[in-house]
Amino acid sequence: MAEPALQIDRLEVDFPTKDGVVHAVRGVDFTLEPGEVLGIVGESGSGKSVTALATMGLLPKSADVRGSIRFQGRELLGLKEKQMTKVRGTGIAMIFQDPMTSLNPVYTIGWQITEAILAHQDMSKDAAKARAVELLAKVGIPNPSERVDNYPHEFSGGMRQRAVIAIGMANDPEVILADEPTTALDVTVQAQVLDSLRTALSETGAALLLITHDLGVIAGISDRVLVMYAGRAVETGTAEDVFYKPSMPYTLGLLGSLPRLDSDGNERLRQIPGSPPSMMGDRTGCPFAPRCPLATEICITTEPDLVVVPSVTSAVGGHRAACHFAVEVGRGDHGKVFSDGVVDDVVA
Amino acid sequence: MPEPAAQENFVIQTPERVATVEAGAHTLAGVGAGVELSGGDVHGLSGEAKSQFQIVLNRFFHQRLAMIGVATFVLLGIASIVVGHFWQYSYTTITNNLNDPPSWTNPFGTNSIGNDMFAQVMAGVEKDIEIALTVAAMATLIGVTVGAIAGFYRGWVDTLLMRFVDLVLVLPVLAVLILLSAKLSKESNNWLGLAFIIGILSWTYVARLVRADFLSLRERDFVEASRALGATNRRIIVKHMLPNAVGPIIVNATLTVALSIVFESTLSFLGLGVQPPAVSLGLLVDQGQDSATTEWWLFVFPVAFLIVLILSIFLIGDGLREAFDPKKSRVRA
Repeated sequence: MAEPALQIDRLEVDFPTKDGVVHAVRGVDFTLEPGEVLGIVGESGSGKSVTALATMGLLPKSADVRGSIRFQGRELLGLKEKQMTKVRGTGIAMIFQDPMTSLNPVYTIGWQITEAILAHQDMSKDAAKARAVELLAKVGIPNPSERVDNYPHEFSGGMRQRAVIAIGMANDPEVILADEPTTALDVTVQAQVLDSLRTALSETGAALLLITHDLGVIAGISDRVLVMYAGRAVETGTAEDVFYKPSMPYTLGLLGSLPRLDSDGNERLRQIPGSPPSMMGDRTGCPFAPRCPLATEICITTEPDLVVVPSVTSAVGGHRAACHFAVEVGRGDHGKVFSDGVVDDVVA
Repeated sequence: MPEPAAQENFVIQTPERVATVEAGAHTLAGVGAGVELSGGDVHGLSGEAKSQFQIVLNRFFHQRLAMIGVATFVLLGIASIVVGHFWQYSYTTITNNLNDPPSWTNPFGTNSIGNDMFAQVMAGVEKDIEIALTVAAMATLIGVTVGAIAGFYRGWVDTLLMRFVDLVLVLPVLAVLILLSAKLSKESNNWLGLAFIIGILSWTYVARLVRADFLSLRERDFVEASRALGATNRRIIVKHMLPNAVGPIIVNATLTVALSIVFESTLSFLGLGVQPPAVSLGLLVDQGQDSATTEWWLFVFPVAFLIVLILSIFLIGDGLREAFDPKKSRVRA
């Protein structure tokens, strides 16, 4: 298929507020090929969720969305609500963060899956119910024919999120947007939910846009990774590129703040000093500069573009980073960019 | 792990205690499944799905006062119909006994023109219930529609509808009732018109209640989720949000029933409600008040039935509110 499943070009989202305009997304481009898994990582407030909601057309009316969002070549921005309703669910499905609240408490799980099916397909209730049982089985709910009549409060968190995934699969979408699908869950349950997501992908052949701040989740499932910071993509590439050859200090910082199993256990987790910048008003320079140990004069005056940097894999041009020193950072010239923090004087 | 023991407890409960324990069992089910028991279908955890509505009903049926209310109300309703059809006198029958005190033939006595008071009081009860249910249905329908639309769409729709609600609210209810019913009271069998008048003045509270509920519901994730699945606004309002607001709506409808009986009685007492020869409790109280000290049965019986009727409905309403109260609920959704 030549047509990408989802193509986003120069997406900008502004929210006018009383205190000024908040630039939540400031020019994000990416393409999602059919069947591909793209992970978007970033801190809270980096514009990940806003990007997803803009794609679904679910942002509040006050939001100013510019750029282009094309689903299978069809422009979604500016589409009428009625047409958008048809795209939602069948074309693009969304899985929300918190399975505790994204299911309707007064209906059975089965009813909710059936409802999702019947919203788009002409099918008898019995057929839809049978399909619901089948979907629950696929996402790994044990004893689905009985469980289908349970209410959400009778499901555990992990099971609910799997039920939500089943609802997302119901209309065989081309693209699934998952907005931090594992964040609200226990670590042990996360793996099961990711398994269900994989099943959903192989069953529907859908492409997945996985939004998370959990690098472990990204590493496990993504083909490509997009790192967002302050409403922009700061690094993008295959999972290998981003994890083995991070070329932007922020990515490096994110990776450095993960605990490692292969360390001797006495290392402190390295943190990125400071906090994300305010998204209010206009800015000059690299948004990461105030927190970046490598920042120089140029970083404060000029915002770097996303440029091609060397890649681990052979594909040229697949790895891009927005840093004036991207190549050096990628080579590892700077060693440990982020210090180990305060020297630990407590005996471990 | 405490769960299995607790489940066993649940199984061996005596029948009387089952209801409360069942409510608890859901929490246990949540906890049990939360640790992802390998089977997922551990005995007793599945196959007994209970909707929130069933849980609420269960809780409702276990309140003694509410049950007394239900029993009283149902008994009064049935009795009024049975008496209307099978009692030896109809409420219009004129006997030769004038102003008789209660006796075996006329348990509630007779009035000055010879009507049997028992037949009259029961006919009054029937009329009151008819009017009250009509009013409640009407007020709830209008109120829910207006409230749901205002709360869901917000913005100018909300402003427009709610200012209209304010407008209706600031009308001095009694004055309007008197004015409107004065026009209607020319005809005799006009209880439907009367119910209509009370109805169009009683929906505002429901509207505000439902609007408030919808304002909070519309921000809930499952509403966003159903929109993300391609549900239309109408589908979201009717199928996804309304069932979540049903608790306060039912409670309020019950209270509307009671209040509209009060309204009706007030109007009839003022001579502007139900007109003779039709009877209502308010009308009977009005007719009996002059003779309250001499022919006490003309006054005491209608008043007593009016009080008991209203009280029984309030008891039901209170019980429903208790049953729907999320703070009493141990089920987390």
